[in-house]
Amino acid sequence: MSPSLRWFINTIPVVAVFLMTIGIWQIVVSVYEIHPIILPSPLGVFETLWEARVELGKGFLATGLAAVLGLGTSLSLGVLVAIGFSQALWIRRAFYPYVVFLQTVPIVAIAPLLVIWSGYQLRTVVLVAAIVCAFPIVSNMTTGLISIDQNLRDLFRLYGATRWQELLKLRLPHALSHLILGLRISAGLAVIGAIVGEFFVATNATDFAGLGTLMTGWQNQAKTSAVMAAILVSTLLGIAMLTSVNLLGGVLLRRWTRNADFENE
Amino acid sequence: MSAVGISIQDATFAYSNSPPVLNDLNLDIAPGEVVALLGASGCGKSTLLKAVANLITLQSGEILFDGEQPTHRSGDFSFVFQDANLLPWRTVRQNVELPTELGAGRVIRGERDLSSGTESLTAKSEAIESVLHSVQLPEAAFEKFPRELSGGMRMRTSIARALVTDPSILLLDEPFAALDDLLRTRLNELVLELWSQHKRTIVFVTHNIAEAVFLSHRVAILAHGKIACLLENKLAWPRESEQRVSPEFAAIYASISQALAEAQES
Repeated sequence: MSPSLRWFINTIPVVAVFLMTIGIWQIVVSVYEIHPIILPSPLGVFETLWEARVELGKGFLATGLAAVLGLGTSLSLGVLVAIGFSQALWIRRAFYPYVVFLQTVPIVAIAPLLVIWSGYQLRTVVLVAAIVCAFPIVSNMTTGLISIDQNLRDLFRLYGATRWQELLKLRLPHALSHLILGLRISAGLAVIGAIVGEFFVATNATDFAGLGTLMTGWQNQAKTSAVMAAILVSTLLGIAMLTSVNLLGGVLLRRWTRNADFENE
Repeated sequence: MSAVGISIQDATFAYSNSPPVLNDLNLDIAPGEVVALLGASGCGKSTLLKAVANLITLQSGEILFDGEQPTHRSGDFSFVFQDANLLPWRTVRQNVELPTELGAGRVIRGERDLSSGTESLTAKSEAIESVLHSVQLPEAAFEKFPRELSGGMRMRTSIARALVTDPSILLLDEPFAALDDLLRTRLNELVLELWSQHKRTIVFVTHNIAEAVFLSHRVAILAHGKIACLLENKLAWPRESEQRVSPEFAAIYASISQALAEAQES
C-alpha cells in the first residue's frame, strides 16, 4: 500500500468522528433551542470565525510569535543547561531538582509575579511560554547526552578523544533525536504558555492582541461563540507548531534514523 | 607499523563488590601472533581484552607491549565490537574517518601525518579509500549511512575503522557473533587476508570453536579468571577454506571442545 493511500485510509475515521460530533452538536442545539451564550451551534461558531477572521488572524500571529520566541528561548537555554548537566553527576544531583520545579510549579501562580518583574509587555508572555516548555527540552536533551552506549564511549577513549571531541562528535549528535522528541512536546506547551501569559498581559508590542487577550475580552462580553472560535484558532496554532517541529525533525534525522515516529504522523 | 608482542603479567581485576574476573592471569603473545580467547560466558574474556586496550585499570599486575609500559602506546590498539558500533549519523566513509579526527591527530597507514595541511588531506582521503577497499566494501556503500547497510557491510565498515589508524594490535570482541554462518566464514577469510598483509598481532574473543581453529595460532581457554589451557593450533598455513572440512580441522576442533569442557568442570 502506498503511504499516501494509507494516510488517506487512516484519516477517514478521524474525519468521520469529527463530522459526527459536529452533526450531533448542531442537532442538539437546534432541537433543545439552547441559548447561544450557553452553547452556540457549530454553524454559529463558524460564522463568528469568519466575521472575526482579521482579529483572529492577527491574534494567531501575535500568539504564534510569543510561542516561537518562548520555544526558542527555552531551546537555546535548555540545550546549554543540558550540556552542563551532562558534564558530571554531581551537577545533575545539585541542579536537576530545580528543573523539575519548573515543571511542577503552577504557571498561573507565578505569572502575576513575572508581570510584576517584567511588566506588561511581550517579554513577559515569552517568559511564561519559555518556563512552561523548558522541562521536556532539558530532560530529553540531558537523557540524550548521557545515555551513550558504553562501547561507543570506549571507542572514543581508545582513540584518545578529548572531552570536547566527545561532546561534539558523540554526545550532541546522539542527543539530537531526543531533543526533537522533547521539542514536539514543548511546541504544544509553548502555545499554552503564550496564551496563559496573555491572560495576564495584554501585549501591544505587535500592535494587535494575541489569542489569550482576545479570549479574555470576549469572555467579559459573554461572546461564547467568539471564545470558541479563538479556541479553534489556538488549536490550529498548536498543530502548526507541532507540524513545523516534525518537519524540522524529519529533515534533520531522515537519513540516519529509523524515524517511524515521524513517518507515521 | 610493525607488530607488537603483548605480555600480560599477574593481571587481576574485579568489578566493585564482586569476585575477581581476572585472577593473577598470565599470558604472553608473540608479535604478529593470532590468539583466540575461548571460555564460558562471564569468564573474563572481554574484560581481558579491555585491560589490554587500557580501557580498564588492573587492580594489580601489568600488561607490557614489547616489554614497555602501555602509557605512551595508547592508540596503537584498535577494537572491533560485537555489534559494529558505528555512528548512525555518519556515512560509511565518515565512520572510517572518525579515528583520524580524534585525539591529537594520528599517523595513518604508513608514515604520513594526516593531522594538517592540504597535502596530508589528500593522503588521508587516499588512505581511507584504500582501507575501505581492503575490507572489500563496494564503492556504492561508501556514502551510505549504517542503517542502509546489511549486517555484514556494517561489520566490514567497523573493521575498516579499526584498521585506518594502522594499529599494531587488533582486538576483536566476538566480532562476528551476530552474523549468520556464511557471512561469518567470509569475514573470517577477510581477517586472515588482512593479517597476511600486515602480520598484526590479533587477539580475539569468540564462542565459535570453528572460528578459533580457522584463524588462530594459539587458543587460550579462560576459566575462573585464569588461563586454564593454552593450545597450539597446528592447522597448516596458509589457511584455505577447504581446510574446514579436513580431518586435521576436525581433530583440532575436537581437542579444543574437550579442553573447553574440562576447563569448565574443574
